[in-house]
Amino acid sequence: MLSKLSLRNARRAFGEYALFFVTLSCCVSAIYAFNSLIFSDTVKALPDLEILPWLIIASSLLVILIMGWIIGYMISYMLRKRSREFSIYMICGIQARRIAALLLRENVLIGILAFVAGILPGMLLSQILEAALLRLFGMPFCLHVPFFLPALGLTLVYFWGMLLYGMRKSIRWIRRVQPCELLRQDQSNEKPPVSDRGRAVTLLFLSLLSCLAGFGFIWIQPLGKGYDVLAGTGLLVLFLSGFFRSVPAALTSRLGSRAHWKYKKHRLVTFRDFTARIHSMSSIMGILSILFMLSITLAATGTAIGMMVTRSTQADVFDIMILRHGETGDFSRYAQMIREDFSGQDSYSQDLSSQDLSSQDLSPRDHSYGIYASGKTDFLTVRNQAVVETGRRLNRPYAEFRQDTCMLQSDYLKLRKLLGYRDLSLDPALCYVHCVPALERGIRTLTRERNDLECAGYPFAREGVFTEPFSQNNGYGNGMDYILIVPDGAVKSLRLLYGVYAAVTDRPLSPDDLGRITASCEGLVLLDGKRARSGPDGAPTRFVYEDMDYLSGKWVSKAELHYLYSIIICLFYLSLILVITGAAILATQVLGDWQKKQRQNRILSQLGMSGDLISRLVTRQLALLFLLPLLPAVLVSICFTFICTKKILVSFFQLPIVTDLVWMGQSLMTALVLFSVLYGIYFAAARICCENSLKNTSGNSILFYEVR
Amino acid sequence: MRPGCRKPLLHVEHIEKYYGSPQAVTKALDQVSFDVQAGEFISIMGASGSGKTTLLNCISTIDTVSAGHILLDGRDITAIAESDLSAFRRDTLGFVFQDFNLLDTLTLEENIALPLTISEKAPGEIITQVRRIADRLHIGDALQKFPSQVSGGQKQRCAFARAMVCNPRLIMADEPTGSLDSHASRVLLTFMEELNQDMGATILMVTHDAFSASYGSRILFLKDGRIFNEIHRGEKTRSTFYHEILDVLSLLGGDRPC
Repeated sequence: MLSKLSLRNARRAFGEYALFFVTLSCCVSAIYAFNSLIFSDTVKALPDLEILPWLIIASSLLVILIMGWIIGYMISYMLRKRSREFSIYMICGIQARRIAALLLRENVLIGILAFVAGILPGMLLSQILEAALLRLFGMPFCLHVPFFLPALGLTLVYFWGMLLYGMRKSIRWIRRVQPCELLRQDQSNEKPPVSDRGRAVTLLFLSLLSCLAGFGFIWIQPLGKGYDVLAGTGLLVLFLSGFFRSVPAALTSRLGSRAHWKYKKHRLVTFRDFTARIHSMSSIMGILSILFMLSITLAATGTAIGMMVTRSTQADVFDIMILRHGETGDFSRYAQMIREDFSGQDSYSQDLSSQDLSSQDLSPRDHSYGIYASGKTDFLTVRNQAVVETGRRLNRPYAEFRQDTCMLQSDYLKLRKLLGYRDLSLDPALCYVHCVPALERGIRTLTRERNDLECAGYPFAREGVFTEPFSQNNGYGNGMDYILIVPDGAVKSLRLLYGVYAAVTDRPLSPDDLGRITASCEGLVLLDGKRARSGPDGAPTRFVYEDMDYLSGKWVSKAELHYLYSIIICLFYLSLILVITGAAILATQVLGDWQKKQRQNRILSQLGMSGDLISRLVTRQLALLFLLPLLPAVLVSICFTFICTKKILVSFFQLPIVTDLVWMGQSLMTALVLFSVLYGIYFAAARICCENSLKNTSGNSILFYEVR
Repeated sequence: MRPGCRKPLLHVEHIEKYYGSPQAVTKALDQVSFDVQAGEFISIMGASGSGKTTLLNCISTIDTVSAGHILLDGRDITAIAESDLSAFRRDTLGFVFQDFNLLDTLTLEENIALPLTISEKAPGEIITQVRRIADRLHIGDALQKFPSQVSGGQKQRCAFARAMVCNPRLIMADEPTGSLDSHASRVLLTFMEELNQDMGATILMVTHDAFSASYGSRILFLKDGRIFNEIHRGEKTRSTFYHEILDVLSLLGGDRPC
């Protein structure tokens, strides 16, 4: 009997369950999609992603807690809507535990349907994720059916875990509640969380103070070691919580008694609609604000990491760089292989000689040359000053970069030509500088102000500073952030640091390609950014082995950052879930009350309010509901995004490759656009539902429905 | 107040109302005609399904007629465009329902003020009018309370105040005492009678309760969608009139229309 009743209830109330159903399906899709990455052979084959499964599992556990809470909230909300129905069951003599069983059956039924419905979109989403991941690695993507039984099993376990976790509170409540309590549900307005106006204003003042202090801690960072960020985070969360407990209460007590405010511009209904649910709304708005803040911050941080990888790759202009410590040597065997495998062009390479670097003209696609030390530190001082001025900590320099580094003009011009940069006519009696944009101003000032500045007896051109991307960001390329371009005649006065073979290939190099190069070339190893050894004078060097050549360049540098993709994926995973959670709560608030709203709109229509005005009021209420938690969330997430992006930028680049604020702004904007798209969909859906409900209310045809 | 020979406030002329599909038509109103003079208090009685609420809904423009005309102040309300109906209802009609139809989220004061805010009256004027009508209906002390915090009688008086506050041409009450106990019903009906007599309010009340109907000056009896009988109170006491109503009601079991 109860089985039939639960089945009939689930079918009858499907309209009301639709939102619950869609939210569950979205969760199943997201969980399945991210879990399938763990079991995908294509993803498993990608290098440096060993941590990805563990991060996804950890994120999924967090998702279970978050989604369990939202499911609990939605079930509890729907229960209260159906309180009268449950009271009738109780009055008819059905025991509370049997009603709880009925409820459990209904939700399990909905859960099964949502699980089945969520798997197919989940497979589609997993393909999108896989495609995006492979694109990050520069690998081609082939569409396939991503059905993994272990992923399905894992999704099933997570899903039922969060569903049962979400239901436990409601089941407990229904077993304890009395019929009279159920009958009285939803009849009276809620009391404000802070009833006294003075207390509300004090709480508001304290929360604003907490906000200012939070921002202060995060911007100024007086404590250091991350404690200030922790304290700032705590204070900002306190601000969000306090703000939403105090503001509605303060406004209600202040505006509720001000007839001249509430009776103007049709504010009355919107205002009272809000204050009627003030207690639950205050808590929900605070929670939503925290969820949205986290979602935007996570997405912005993910975007910043992604941008950092892209920028880093863009700054490395040479696809392949092979370095040889202390000598130039013969790079022809590498050149031969690179040409055959990657160029696709019939280029010619001369036999390289360690004696005559300027004549090592391999082909238009590659070139080998030397990097020298000048024995001076004028420009290094400017560089170090710039690092300190941009708020970064000055790292101990590698042994090769403790003096100004140089290259010959002829090599420089050939490299420019190789990269397709504009032709320059350099004065063979002057020195020039090529640096990263962040150093341009400092170096120009130095060359203008210091008339005695010279390198190997050659003075510097006054305006001779160039800033195109030139593989200078990570060191062990063309200098550490800058390089001096000296006349060829200066070579005798310079000390050779390392020889470089630089090539530009026709296509991106995958991790497999890099592996193939090192495997097929004996004596060639990857230049490992994480390893270094101490040199004879105690300074660290990345040339770990004495008699080896080192493979570097754009794709090697990028491969070193592959582990960051795991973090990006998890950040977006959590961000997506948080938006879905928050928007689902809002939509529940909006759509859960549709019967009450219909009745309200019908009364307003009877009293002579036009359909247009009712529609405007509905839009106003929706906008209030959707914007209120968003505004403080955006404000706080700006602060957190700044912190996260700044930390990322500082950890990866000694000098900013773009302005910090631009960097932060771009990350934030990207995150906001992504967030707005998802949020906008929910807003539009809620608006359409309200509009439909409104049509049913304002038209005379539905009024017949009410006619006895 | 007796109807005179002057032009009626409300003129209902041969209205018909059909429900349902072409295969199964239900005739809710059948050639109903009557007049209401300004300042009259008319009760409409009949058994369940007799068409009394349908008639009220047609007059209040909530429902449309299938045939016939309804003229209010000489204006044919069956021909008013959909877009003008809201303004017409706001400016001309007042409604009182059995289940009060108050907004739970608004205080009694705000519920009464609602039609005035819709008409965009100045807040000062709203407050004055709300106070005046609330004091008259003895709910001045409960104005800051929400509907869930007051009795059924207070709720219905609030609903009546809301219907009256814009000084509508016609007040329509659909079973206003249906959810009230006998004491609250009597208090409300007394107020309605006073408003009718003192302020000249025109009231059209649908009820199936003979006692409530006896407060009216004229009673229309509906049966199967047609006017079965019509009686006037005249100079009779309410007790006499009440017994007369009961006599008519006993006849409603028959099938002779008037």
